Amino acid sequence: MNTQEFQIQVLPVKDKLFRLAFRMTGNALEAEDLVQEVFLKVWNGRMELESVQNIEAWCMRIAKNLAIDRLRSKHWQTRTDEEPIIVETHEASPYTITEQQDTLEHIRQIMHQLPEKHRQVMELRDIEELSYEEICEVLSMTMAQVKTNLHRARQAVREALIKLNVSKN
Amino acid sequence: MTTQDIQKLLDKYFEGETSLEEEASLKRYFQGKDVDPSFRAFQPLFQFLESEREASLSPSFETRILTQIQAENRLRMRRITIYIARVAAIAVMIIGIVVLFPKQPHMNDSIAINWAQYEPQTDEEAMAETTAALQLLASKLNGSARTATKELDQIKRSASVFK
Repeated sequence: MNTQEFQIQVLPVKDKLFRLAFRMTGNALEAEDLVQEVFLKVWNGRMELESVQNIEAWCMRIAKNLAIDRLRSKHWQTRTDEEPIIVETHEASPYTITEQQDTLEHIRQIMHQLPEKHRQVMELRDIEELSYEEICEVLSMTMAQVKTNLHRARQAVREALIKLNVSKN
Repeated sequence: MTTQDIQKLLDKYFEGETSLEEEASLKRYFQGKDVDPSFRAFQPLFQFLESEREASLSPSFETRILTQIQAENRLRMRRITIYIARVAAIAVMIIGIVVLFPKQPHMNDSIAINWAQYEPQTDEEAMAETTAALQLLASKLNGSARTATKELDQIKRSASVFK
């Protein structure tokens, strides 16, 4: 694989890797540094790429493992300390923006309260839009485990959303 | 899509049985302005999922990675060049030693003794050689017999002291 092929086949996955790393480390700078490490690792081991069927899933698996290593080796701040991501919204009044941000923050809290595996599966499926097979590869799970975790995660989110809606009304 | 279609899709979604295409349809529906009031409770979830996809790396990141990769390439090339230079230097040294100090011929290899020249050529010569050899043997045997007699005399003299 030459630089051009690397640019076309591997680099486009950068944002997915960043989001995965950010969700796991809770630190944007650390996540960026981690993505850089993933790419250098992939480049240095590019001879192995020929045997890799899904480069995207492979890169995400490396990113997940590196994030776990970093989390194990360092003392990280708890996720509750992280700064919320500011979501840009258009054509909305300041009141609506604040309300939307509050609602999104509620959803984020609901997601964070899910067991780690449930949350990881749901994030990979619903945010990164990975296929079930890709999720199996990234998280080293069986198809049955992925589907069970996804089902439980979505059910928990559904119940929390209904409760939230009831309390608002 | 009708309200019933959305309800079916939502049920399927929460059961974890939707395809990526069906999930994309749901996301599109909930991003729109005409969401049925009965589904409003779920709208924030799909808005959240979409908003999470907006987080991305800075545009300069790609350039930085490519620069680093090129630097890695240069470093790798330099390492390969140094390695080749080392191997070449060792090869030149070995060739130099072989050329400057050629292998010395071994004595055993160059001088072969021609034993055939000592072989008797005629019957007379053979008889003379054999006679000389037997005379040498006889003189050696006679000498040994004299020594043995002397030794026996000495033993007899020593034994007479104890009588």
